[in-house]
Amino acid sequence: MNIRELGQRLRRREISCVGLIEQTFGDIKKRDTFNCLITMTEEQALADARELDRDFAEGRDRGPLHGIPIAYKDLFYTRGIRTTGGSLVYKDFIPDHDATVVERLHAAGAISIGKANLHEIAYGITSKNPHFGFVLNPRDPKRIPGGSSGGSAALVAAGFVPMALGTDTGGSIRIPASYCGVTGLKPTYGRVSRHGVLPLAFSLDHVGPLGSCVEDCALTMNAIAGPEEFDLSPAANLKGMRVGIPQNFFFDSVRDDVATAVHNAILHLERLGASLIETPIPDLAEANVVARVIQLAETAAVYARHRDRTMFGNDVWGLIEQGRMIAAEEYINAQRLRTLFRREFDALWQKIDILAAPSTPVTAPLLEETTVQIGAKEEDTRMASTRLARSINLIGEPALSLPCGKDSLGLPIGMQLIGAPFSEPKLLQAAKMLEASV
Amino acid sequence: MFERYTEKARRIIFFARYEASELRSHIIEPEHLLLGLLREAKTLFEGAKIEPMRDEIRAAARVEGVAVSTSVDLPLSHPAKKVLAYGAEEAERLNHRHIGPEHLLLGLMREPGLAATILEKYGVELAMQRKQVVASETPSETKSREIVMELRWAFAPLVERLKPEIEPAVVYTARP
Repeated sequence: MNIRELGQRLRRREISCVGLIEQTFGDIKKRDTFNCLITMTEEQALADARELDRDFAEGRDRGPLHGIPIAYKDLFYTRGIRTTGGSLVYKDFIPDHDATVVERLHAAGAISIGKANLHEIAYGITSKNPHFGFVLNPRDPKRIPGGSSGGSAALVAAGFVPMALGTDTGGSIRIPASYCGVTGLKPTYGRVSRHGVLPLAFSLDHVGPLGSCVEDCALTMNAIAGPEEFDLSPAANLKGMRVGIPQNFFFDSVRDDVATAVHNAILHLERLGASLIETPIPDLAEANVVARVIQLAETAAVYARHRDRTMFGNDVWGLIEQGRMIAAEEYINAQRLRTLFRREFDALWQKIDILAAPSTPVTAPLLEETTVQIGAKEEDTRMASTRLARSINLIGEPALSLPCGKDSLGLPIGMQLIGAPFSEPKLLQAAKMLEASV
Repeated sequence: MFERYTEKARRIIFFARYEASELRSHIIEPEHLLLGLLREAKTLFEGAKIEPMRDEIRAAARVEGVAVSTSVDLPLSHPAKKVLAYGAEEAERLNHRHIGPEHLLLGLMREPGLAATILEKYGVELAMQRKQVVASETPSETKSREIVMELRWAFAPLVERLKPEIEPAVVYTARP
């Protein structure tokens, strides 16, 4: 059930906030074989629910999120509740304050059920956490859920909560959204507060929702993203919207069934009134190189004082080690190249409103697959998974992943819609209409 | 010039200056660098007798005169500069971004003179030493270095595009 449906049940008094929370925990205890959560906060959730029931009884409605169970990736500071980052470094860390977004969602009446499992320190895409256990994909538990917001995506895909908050530094919202068949939005850089969120790479980190549908993401954005309203009142059509189909990069090395599903979805957008414009786009393979230089260096800076490799999984330690080898001049020049890529995108947004592309070149890989096969080529699973997402963090534009079909095994295929800075309302509107028709 | 030096390598330079001053020299020579190494990086000399080596260098390197105040900057002699250049070259050869004691030792062994003679006498061999430097890396370090070299390879041509006036874009919200 999505946020609106749950809200209707609450307002019709078919269920109380307490009842809904009890039901949610009952469901998780019975069915969570996916290892979605690191910490469950049942008592706190029930206390919150009682207060929200009182609010309802006394006529105080906090809005669409009132009484809705949600979860946070275990990277968000929660006052008095440990925040591990999925890491031994923070395993006993108990913040003395809430992240700004946690405060906002709490004020909006959302009820946190706990802290979601993730790839260690959010640095990777498998969510095979060596310290808190692997997260499994609810669509097929033999597969990775994607990451790093793997637990958040799995909670939503399993139907435990309609929305869980995640973060995205190189695809960490969009990749698990794609692999788990949920909707994830990486907002424009700077749109949503990062205060009180454990950093991975300062200039690439974004906070955003993973929801059971487009509307769940929009309603969450209303609560976390400041004054603007993300209006989702149904538009009659998408007339006047210019949808760009990239002539290079995005479809260059993508599994056939993924490409077909995304192309079909693009044709849906045309049927809904959008005009399709085939267009060359900036070289994002190059932008990926630049983004990697920045990410490696910034993360190495965050973990500069942690020299004990036994505290980290091998993959994460390797990446930290690589980051230490990046020179200062390389980091600064990467930030300067970022300026150039942004200018190229500014020019692109003169021609189109939205860029339509796949989110990931493949569907969810098996847990043990360290490489994936794309046509005749074999590619490292992490590199393939981040390839279509990473560069968007470099330029900072908003990007959304939504399911647009299934492959022959029934696994979800994710489509990515990318827009100009601060054009989330437009992205959400297009996604919402597409969702209804795909 | 010392920006690629590890903390230990920097301390070796510091102690070389100190040793030079103690031995009444007005200039830092390779043997002073070796004395610095013997203080800071004993593990590199496993099997060699450190104390006799140190005494022998000190005896051979002492010059007549008064000790130089520690507040005065001592210059590097030409051979000492060559040692540092060789050290950097050894690091380059191994694709190491940093310059550490192990590279300085390799540099010392390549510059003929008192330091190299003594190292040879005490059984510290260049070829063997190079092998040890490579072997001391963990597999993950080697792999990481390969990945970064590859990344650097892809990154270098992009930097060619930068004109002097292009500034870093760190804060996205600063964009108009």
